[in-house]
Amino acid sequence: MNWALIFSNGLYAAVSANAVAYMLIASGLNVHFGNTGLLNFGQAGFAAVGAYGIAIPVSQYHWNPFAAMLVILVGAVLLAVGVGLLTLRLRSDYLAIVTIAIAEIIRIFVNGDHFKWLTGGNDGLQGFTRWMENASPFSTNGVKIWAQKIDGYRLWLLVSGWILLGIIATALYLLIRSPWGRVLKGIREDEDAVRSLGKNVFAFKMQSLVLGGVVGAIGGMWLVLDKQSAQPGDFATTLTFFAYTMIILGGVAKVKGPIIGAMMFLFLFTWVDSFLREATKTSAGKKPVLPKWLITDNNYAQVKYIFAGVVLAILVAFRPQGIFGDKKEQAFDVR
Amino acid sequence: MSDDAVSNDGAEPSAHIPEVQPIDAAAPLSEQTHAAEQASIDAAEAELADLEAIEPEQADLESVVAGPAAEEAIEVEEAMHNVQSTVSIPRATTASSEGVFDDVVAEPGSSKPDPIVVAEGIRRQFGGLVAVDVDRLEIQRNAITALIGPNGAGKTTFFNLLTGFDQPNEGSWTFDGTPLLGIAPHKVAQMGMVRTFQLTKALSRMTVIENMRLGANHQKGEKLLQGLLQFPWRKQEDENTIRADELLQRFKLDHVRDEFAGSLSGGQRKLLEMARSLMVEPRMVMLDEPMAGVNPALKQSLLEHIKLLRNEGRTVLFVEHDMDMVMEISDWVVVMAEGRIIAEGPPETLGQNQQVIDAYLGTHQGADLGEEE
Ligand SMILES: Nc1ncnc2c1ncn2[C@@H]1O[C@H](COP(=O)(O)OP(=O)(O)O)[C@@H](O)[C@H]1O
Ligand SMILES: [Mg+2]
Repeated sequence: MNWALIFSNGLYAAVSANAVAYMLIASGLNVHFGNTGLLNFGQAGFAAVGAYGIAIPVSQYHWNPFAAMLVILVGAVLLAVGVGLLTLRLRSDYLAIVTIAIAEIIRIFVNGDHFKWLTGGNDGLQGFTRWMENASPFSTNGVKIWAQKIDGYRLWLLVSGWILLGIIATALYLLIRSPWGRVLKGIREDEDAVRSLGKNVFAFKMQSLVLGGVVGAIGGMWLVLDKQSAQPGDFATTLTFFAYTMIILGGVAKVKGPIIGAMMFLFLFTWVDSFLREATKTSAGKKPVLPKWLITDNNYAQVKYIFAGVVLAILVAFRPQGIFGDKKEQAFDVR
Repeated sequence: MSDDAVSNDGAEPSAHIPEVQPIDAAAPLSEQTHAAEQASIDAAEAELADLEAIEPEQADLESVVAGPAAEEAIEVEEAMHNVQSTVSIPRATTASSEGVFDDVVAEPGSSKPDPIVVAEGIRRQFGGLVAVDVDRLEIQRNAITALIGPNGAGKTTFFNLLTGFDQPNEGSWTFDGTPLLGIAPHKVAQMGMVRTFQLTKALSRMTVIENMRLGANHQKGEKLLQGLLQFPWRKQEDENTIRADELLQRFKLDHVRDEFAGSLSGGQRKLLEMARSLMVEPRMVMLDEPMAGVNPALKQSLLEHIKLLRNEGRTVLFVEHDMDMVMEISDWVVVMAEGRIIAEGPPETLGQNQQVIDAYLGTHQGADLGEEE
């Protein structure tokens, strides 16, 4: 058993550029769900806008990446406004239904053969990261930290990603503590009360939707910059559920909640994965650590989900407010 | 608002109409109830006298409270809003609206000398049920008007309609001359007509002081970009906090300032909701059953607070079941039953009104007819 590798894999997964992408996606969702009480189940759709907003213009049309980022911004705002116009005047459950549907529509659109010329279809899109690679100040050989080898591009994405995350999280932190954030909190508690105090609830919900959507789209862009490939499968509803898990793990409505939550989630997930891979390995005639009747190197991938799920369930059961959530605050019903 | 209306009133209307003669004649009220009522009226009258004695002092206090901060707020409002919706609370401190109603006819729809609300032909139907059907109602400015009536009379629905939380099938109404039909509830509030809810809406997972701050109108920090920058709103926030703290003190909530609103007692939440509504600087306050579920000790202080609102120059419309309370503080009483206004008049005369008695006794004695839901 290579324990150093198992742990370093887990630790790296918790802080890598991929992790930063998840943190951004979950942070955006936290603005909706944690701060405003909006049940957005289509965060994957916003992430997809970020992913394909960079991939399509740069890889298909050789746009300047910064122009592509403008496309992402406009696309995410339009998506949020569209979803908002459709649902925000209706009961909150409608938002959940409509967002999940729209996210699926986006995924099916980019996955479909009909628009393959544009989206790459099932094969996805590659070759849109050259500008980022060129911008890297690190040698392409990268570094080796403990048992972990990190190439120069990933190291660059990691460092710049954390800077980006730092800026965005600080902005969110300031906003949530401002009178603007207070109105969102009020809406989460009881929107009619907020209305009776003269606040335009619809406008605030819309702003929340736009802000969280744009942050989620930036996360989606980072996700595909890290993978160097935009694949429809990465933007299935699972992505949204992972983001929810991260928020709940870290503590709802706190800016650091989704960041810490994503670190825990990804560490745990990757640790289990690496552990099972090591423990089922049959190398040099030696028997694997775990007996074959229990688990094999063929089926450990499924078992990993079960194992991670059980651990998450236990965590949530014993600390429902998340790691940083306020137990006292959690004690009062939303109603 | 719908859960408010559907789940309906927790308490039965307790129709102790103090003018006892006609009730005695109409209903078999026991001797004991009778005596108890008489006692409570006496007590109420004594308290009334007490209150009247201290009122000038409170009025002074009020002009201090509504001082420079209010003026600042008005300036801000003027900058961002048209003059029409600017809230300006008259500094005059009338001790009561003594004499104002002298020439008003005690009949449904009667005209008032200086109405702040004029409603005409308001009708709201839920399926086949006509919940509200008000031909005409004027509400006198700077007075306390009580809206009474048995459960399901349509009082809450009428509140919802006036404040824009619900839309009528027909009708129109004005607030200070401005037609309000089709105006969104938050705009109605910004114009100075602020309501509270029958089921208290304290924002549980926010602290008491944050509840209060939220109420302040026209906050610069509620704009996304300015909120991010901090410096544009810090000063205003400090001013709002001072005003909030003064109100908390006045409503005796200063000791729970930093507690979550969800940890307050029912009565404290009612107080908080009322205090929070004052942060909006309303010209008119509409209170839906402010005393429901409040313990007797707090009730008295709530009454004083309501009087104080009028003495500050605001208009109060409130729904209440407890007739003793209505008698004690209201200048004018409007009685609703089955969606219609069946009577209006000064509180003293209501006990003699046969229609009022019928409406109340109808739902009470006729409970076996299944009139209650
Ligand atoms: N949203 C609604 N849908 C259907 N019926 C309603 C609704 N709101 C109120 N009602 C009905 O309208 C009538 C008046 O209710 P309400 O205004 O709550 O009375 P009150 O406040 O005087 O007790 C009741 O019969 C109630 O059941
Ligand atoms: Mg009611």
